[in-house]
Amino acid sequence: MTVPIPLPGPGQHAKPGPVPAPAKAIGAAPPPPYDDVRCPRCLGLIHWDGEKVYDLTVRPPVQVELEAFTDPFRRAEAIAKGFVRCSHSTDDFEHFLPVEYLRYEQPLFIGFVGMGSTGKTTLLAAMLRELDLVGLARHGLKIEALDRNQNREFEENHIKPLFEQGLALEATRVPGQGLEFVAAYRVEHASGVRPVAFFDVSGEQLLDDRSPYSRFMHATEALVFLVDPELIELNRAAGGDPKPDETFRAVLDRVTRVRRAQGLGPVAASVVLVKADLHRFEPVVEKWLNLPAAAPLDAGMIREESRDVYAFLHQLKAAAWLWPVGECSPCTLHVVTATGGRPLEDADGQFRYPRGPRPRRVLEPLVALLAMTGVIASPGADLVGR
Amino acid sequence: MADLSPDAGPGAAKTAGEPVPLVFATSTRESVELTVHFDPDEPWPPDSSFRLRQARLTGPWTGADPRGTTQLLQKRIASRTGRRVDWTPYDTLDREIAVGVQLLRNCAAAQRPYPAELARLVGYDVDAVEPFALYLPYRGEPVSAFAGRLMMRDQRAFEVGLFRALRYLEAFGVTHRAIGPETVRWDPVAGRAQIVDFSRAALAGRALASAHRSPWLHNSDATSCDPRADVWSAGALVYYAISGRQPGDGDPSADPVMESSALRGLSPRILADRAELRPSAAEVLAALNEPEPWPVPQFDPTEEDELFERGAEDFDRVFPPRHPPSPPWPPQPPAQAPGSANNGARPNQQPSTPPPAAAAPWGRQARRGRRLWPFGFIAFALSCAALIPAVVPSRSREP
Repeated sequence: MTVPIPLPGPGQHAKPGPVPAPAKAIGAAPPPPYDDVRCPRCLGLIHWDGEKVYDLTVRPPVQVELEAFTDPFRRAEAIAKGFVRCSHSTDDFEHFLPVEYLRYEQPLFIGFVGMGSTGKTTLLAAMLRELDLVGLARHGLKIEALDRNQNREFEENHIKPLFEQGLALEATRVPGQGLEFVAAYRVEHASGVRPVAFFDVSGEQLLDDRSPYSRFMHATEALVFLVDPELIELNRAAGGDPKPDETFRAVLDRVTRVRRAQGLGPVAASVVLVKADLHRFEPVVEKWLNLPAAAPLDAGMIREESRDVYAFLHQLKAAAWLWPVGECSPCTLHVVTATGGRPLEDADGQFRYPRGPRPRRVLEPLVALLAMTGVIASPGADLVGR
Repeated sequence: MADLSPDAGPGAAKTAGEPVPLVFATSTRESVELTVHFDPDEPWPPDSSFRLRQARLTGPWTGADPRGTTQLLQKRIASRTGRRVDWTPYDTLDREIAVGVQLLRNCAAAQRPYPAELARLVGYDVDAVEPFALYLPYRGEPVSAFAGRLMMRDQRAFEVGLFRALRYLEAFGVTHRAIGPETVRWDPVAGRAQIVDFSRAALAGRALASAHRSPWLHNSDATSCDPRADVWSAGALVYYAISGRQPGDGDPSADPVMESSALRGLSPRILADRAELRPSAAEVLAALNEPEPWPVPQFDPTEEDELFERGAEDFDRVFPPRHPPSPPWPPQPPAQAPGSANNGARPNQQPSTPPPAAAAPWGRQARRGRRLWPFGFIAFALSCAALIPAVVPSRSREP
């Protein structure tokens, strides 16, 4: 299971995050202490003196005796391989992060927003699998899992059942959870290294204005809004024009308010038409689903796809779902299918994909977000979503 | 992975001929459930992933034909065991269905009945264990069944019928790209040709990811979306239907069997090596003094089209273009057909460029060498073609 973000204890209140730190040179570790990096597990700001690291290969984790290393190279190596205990750890929730997470640019938090049935976990599974299999070398990025143990949990619980057994993932229905940290990656680009953390924002809980997950709102720089054509159809069948996913407004209102208070501009976003296989025979959807991923980054093609999706949602009388486009900047729109089709119920009552899932264009929203947040800085990247 | 054995899916009959439910989506994504008896599969090439069989309904259904139909044709992908999935047949079926859906929508937009000259898609299910497309039963028999034995009295009707069918595709902005003995059928009773199997078809202006090679498609058209690629194929097919000779096996310019063909005078242009030198299907019909089957159909924008356009205009207002247009992706060879407007669904109604005076050689193989038609003989042949309607009664039908 992905690790749920725990409720803050007494005295642990959300603090606004600082403006992201400027890019640092690859390999040049800034001097400690660190107090401006947000923990993806509890969303608190990490305070690390640069000295205490832990070895997680043993249980329980033990602090590494750094003074025992007389060789500075071996000492640095021990630090690089070690884990930092988050300063907000509690007895009930002791958690650690790789040192790598703290040493470079401010981590980029990407939240996937949508109701429980929209397929966020499925899209994340397809996306992260594609990252592991294919990577983003075509855009000059080197991608590695930051914490293999964390990623392995998601892989065992979601990626393998989906892609090795063809099992459809169930809708996220974990009670009491509005936010889940899924995985983190180290992204090495032309001018630096930036950790990227993915979050599943299960919007139902966030609809509560008193939700304690507002710390996520302080930290997120990029959002993926999932537009579910099944929801559009359901709303239409119920009569009247399709109503947008309520979590869109719930999340975006709060993120916008927090960022404005910090003097920051709108958040970057990708609006993704998921389950696009349901409309695979519509000319615009068919056109994009069958197009191979382009390399290098092409801002003009991204604009063309965004235009088509925007217009297609108008065609479906679902223009209300385009609300994030007016509130986020920069912003792109994409056609995606995480599975390529619908699952069938087998003799055991489980839902499976008869031929296994066939994801298409699942990395394109991430590529656009990385361009919009400056991680991809190839020519034309600054025009993406603008 | 799921059990992919043939009887695993819902609807699989325990014994042949038992009535089973058949659930599918129509071109407007409505769900339909019928009860059918499936006939055994028809003979199919052993290396093919596809199977054809008749589905006999237990009662008439008016969803596709207002007169009611009691039989449908199912084209499905036979399920296979094994871990590794070859997605090629599934992509092929997807493309066939996409074209079928677009043809139906274009007909609806033109407010015309669907032409009998084109196989009519009824529905599909692409998520089934054995994905399938459903059609109204094909008409007549494939050209392969009577090649070389087409009666002289049927020749003109066949030729006109074939180019009439091409004219519909041309008007709809669809290039079939696989016109050949198995995909063109002839119904001598109705005097109508029918084009089936749109698995290789392309919509006008759409990029093609891979080349298609076939003896019935000119080499220069391997990646072409130009409707005149089909014109070449149709010319080769006419020669085959009359003489029994395939492309490259003979030279229609010298073959006496072509003397009775209505296309004899046009064949040098029809069989030109380059698409831009060939006449359109509309021009061929005009040269044969045949009426346009759809007098320049007007495709009134549907409500959906208008909503789409409005959305696109709104987007352009919010995000004014700031960068030059991107080069086509995937990279395309030159000489593509003119594209259509808006969301790529509208047909190409542009006339072809006029041909040069010199005739083009038959066939593709250089070893055949080049022969040029004398201009005088061209004039004589055109005169013969013009006289044919006065001598042989036309069997073409209005739609």
